[in-house]
Parts: sequence; structure tokens; C-alpha cells
Amino acid sequence: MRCEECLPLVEEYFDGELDEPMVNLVAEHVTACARCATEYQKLEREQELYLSYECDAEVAPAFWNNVKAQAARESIRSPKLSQRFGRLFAGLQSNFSAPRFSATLTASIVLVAIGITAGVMLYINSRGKTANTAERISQKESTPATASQPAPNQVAGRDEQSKTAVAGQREIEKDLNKRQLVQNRDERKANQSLAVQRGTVPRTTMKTDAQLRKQTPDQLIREAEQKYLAAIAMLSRDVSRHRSKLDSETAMRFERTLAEIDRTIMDTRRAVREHPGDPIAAQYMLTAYAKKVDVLREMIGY
Amino acid sequence: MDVMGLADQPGAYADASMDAHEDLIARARRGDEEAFRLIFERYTRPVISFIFYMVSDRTLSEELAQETFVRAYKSLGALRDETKLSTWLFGIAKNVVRESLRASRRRAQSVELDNQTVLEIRDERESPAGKLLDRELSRMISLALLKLDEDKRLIFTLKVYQQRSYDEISEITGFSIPKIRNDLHRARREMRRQLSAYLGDKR
Repeated sequence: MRCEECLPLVEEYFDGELDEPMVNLVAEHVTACARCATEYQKLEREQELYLSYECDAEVAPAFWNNVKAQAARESIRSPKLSQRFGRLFAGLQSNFSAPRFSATLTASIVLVAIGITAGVMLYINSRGKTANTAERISQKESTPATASQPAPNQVAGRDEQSKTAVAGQREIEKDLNKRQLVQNRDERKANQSLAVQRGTVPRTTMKTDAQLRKQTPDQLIREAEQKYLAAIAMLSRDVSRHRSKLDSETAMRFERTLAEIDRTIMDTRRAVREHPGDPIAAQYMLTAYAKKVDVLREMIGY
Repeated sequence: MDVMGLADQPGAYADASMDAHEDLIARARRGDEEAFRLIFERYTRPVISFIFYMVSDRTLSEELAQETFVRAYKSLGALRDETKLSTWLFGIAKNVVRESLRASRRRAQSVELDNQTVLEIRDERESPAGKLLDRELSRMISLALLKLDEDKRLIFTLKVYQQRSYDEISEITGFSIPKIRNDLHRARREMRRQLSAYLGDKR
């Protein structure tokens, strides 16, 4: 081995990072070559100097107790929320496993809930977009035809997100409205409010994208909640009329399911109030409402 | 085997006490608090010293070591390979140190690292190197370390003071072996230049 080959390897040799055949070659050369031996000895001297700067750290007697106390404090803080959502999830799970619901219905409920949540989340995310996007939206508002049927090349990511945001909500409302149209006048009035986002009411009463953008995520969630509550109120009236047609066992099963959902709604609402910015809490709450709407519909159609 | 006795021998954990390690970790995962304590205690000193060489501040080192063990305590369940507890723990320590360094950079960007007064304020206790070298040399080594950029200081500290192999450094830092080799070489060169007066040779 020549010095030119050995010198670049001296440091790795010193660090013990060479494989055995190479170690033997370098060791042999360093023993015989004064120049390379000097390099090796310099590394040894440097190492000795660095190690003279010792950290003689004394571990305080309270160190371990502090670690345990801090860990305990932090573990108490975090599981609270997870336990709560775990309980809510278990409640929802039991609802979904009720014998009354087919797999198709359950799957559709899940999809609708995911759609609503994804829509709300995407809408929230899109609120912070640039002034350029805002300008485009404002232009869209000034031309109703473009707003209702945007050309594919004009549909930006945010528009897609806004469409997705209401898609899930509309799905539920569409089904509900079919029933509401054949109900009495009071129900039609409520139906009109539910159809606001679907575009079946005059533009003067419809919220524009710009108006929606001004709303906070909390307001959007509250609005969705109000819509569900209105729908639930209407369906509950129908259910009262149909209740006498149900046999006692079926009625009891429905009542149990509804009671379970009501508890879940109560818990999720509390979670949303306590953690206003938490999208998961909002998701659980809206899912619970959606579930109740479907159970009520199921009761009417039974 | 006295596994506690190995705490003073950096680098010896991985082979000599492997069985004891695995047994302790298994017990700790089952909720054995005493096992947790044993695992943490044996690494306390190496972790504190590693952090000290990175931040050059005793009080801060202890605080960051405490944070390291709290994170380890909370995430022991996430440890996949029980034989690599040491590198896993040092990886956590590395993250804690980096977060702290980032925060302190934000807090005091104007602090000059080569201002010796600053270091004297930060390191209030008697220099531990007094037994072997005078205080001036310890301060110079400390300053030289602080002048290394973060990656180089991390690699240099793990190699020189913790005697870790390149592979272990790679596991702890996530750096590639060529980067480790390169940065270590440059770190040594920079340290050499900073401390040339004490090395007694011109390089």
C-alpha cells in the first residue's frame, strides 16, 4: 500500500471503521511508514485533548422523580381526549352494528359523513388562499351563469373543494326533500331552508361563496348542525305519526337506537364546544346527526 | 451481571448486556415501573453528557435530558427493535437538542458564540476538566465545539465523546455513512484549526 492510498484511510482506521482485510493493510503500512504513522499519532493526541474536556455530569437525586412526575402529568393530559373519542367511537360502532341496518345503508351513511367532513375541512383549508383566488371567486359571483356552470378549464382547486364541501350535505338533503315535497306546507317551508345550498331558492336568499368565506369554521359547523336539527325535527313529526304502525318490538329497538344516538350527539356536542377547533370532534358530531336522520327515515319507511 | 455497572462504559451496552436489555425492556413494556427506572437510570449520565457537548450548558443539559426521558417513557411502546434502545434513546435526545437549539437561535440570534463572557455566564459551575487541563483549555474546546455547525457537532460528539460507530451514528441521526465520514473529517479539521495552539503543531 502506498501513502496516497493509506492517508485517506487513516481516519477510518483510527475510528475502527475499516473491514478486516483493509485494517491489516493499513496497519502494516502505518507500522512501516513514518509519515502515515505521524498522521495516526496526531489523531491519537487530538482525541486525548478532546476527551480532557469531560462532562462530569452529576445526576440530581430528584432527576428520576422529575421525569416520572412530568411523564405522569403529560400522560394524564393526552389520554383524556382519546378516551373520550374512544367512547364516542364505541357508541357509534354499536349504532352501526344495530340489526336494523343493511350493509349498503351503513356504507352510504359512512360515505355521506366522510363527504360532509371532507367538505368542511377542505372549505376551511381553502379560506386562507391568496388574493388571486379571492378575486376569481368574486368574478364568479358577478356572473351567475359562470358560477353555476363553470368551464372545466376555469375550475381551480379551491372551486373543486367548495363543490366537494357541499356535496355530502346535498346528498342527505336530496333524499330528505323527496319526502318533504309530499308533506304539508310547514314541511315545505323547512324544506326550502334545507335546499338553500342546493340552489333551488332565489339567489337573493342564497349565500354566496364570498359570504361563506367570511364564516369561521365554527360558524360553518353550527350551520350544518342547525340544518340537521331542522331535518330531525321534521322527520320526528313524521315518525310520531307512523309510530302507531310499528310493532312494539320494532318500536323499542328503534327507541333504543335513537337513545344511543342522542347520547352520542350530546357527548360529541360537548366535545365540539370544549374543543372548537378540533375537526375530529366536529366529524363525530356531524356523523351522529347524520345517523339520527337516517334512523328516523328508516322508521318512517318501515 | 450488574447491568447498572455498565452505565459508565459507553458503547458497552449493545453487546455485553444484550439479554439484560431485552429482559428489562420486555418488563417495562408490561408496565413494570422498576424496569422503566432501571432502563432510564443506566442511560442518564451518557445522555446528559451527550446533550452537554451539544449545548455547553449544564442546567440546560439536565432539563433536556429530562425531556428526553419523558419522551422515551411515553413512546417506549413505539420502539420496534428492542436491541436498539440506546440508539433509539439517543435519537430522541438528538431531536430534543435540535429543537432546543432552534428555539434558542430564535431567542437570541445576536449572541456571538465566540464571546467568552457568554459562555462563562452559561456554564456557571467549576470546570470539570480542571483535574486534567486548566479552565482556559476547557473553554476553548467548548467554544470550538460550538463553532461547528449543528450536523458536524452532532457527529463529532457522537463519535469522539460517545464512541459510536458510523452505523450507530447513522441510526441516531438519519445521516448517510458518506455524509458522516465527510462531516466527521471536516469537524476534526475545524477543531484542529481552532485548537492548534494546544495541539503544539502547525496544520
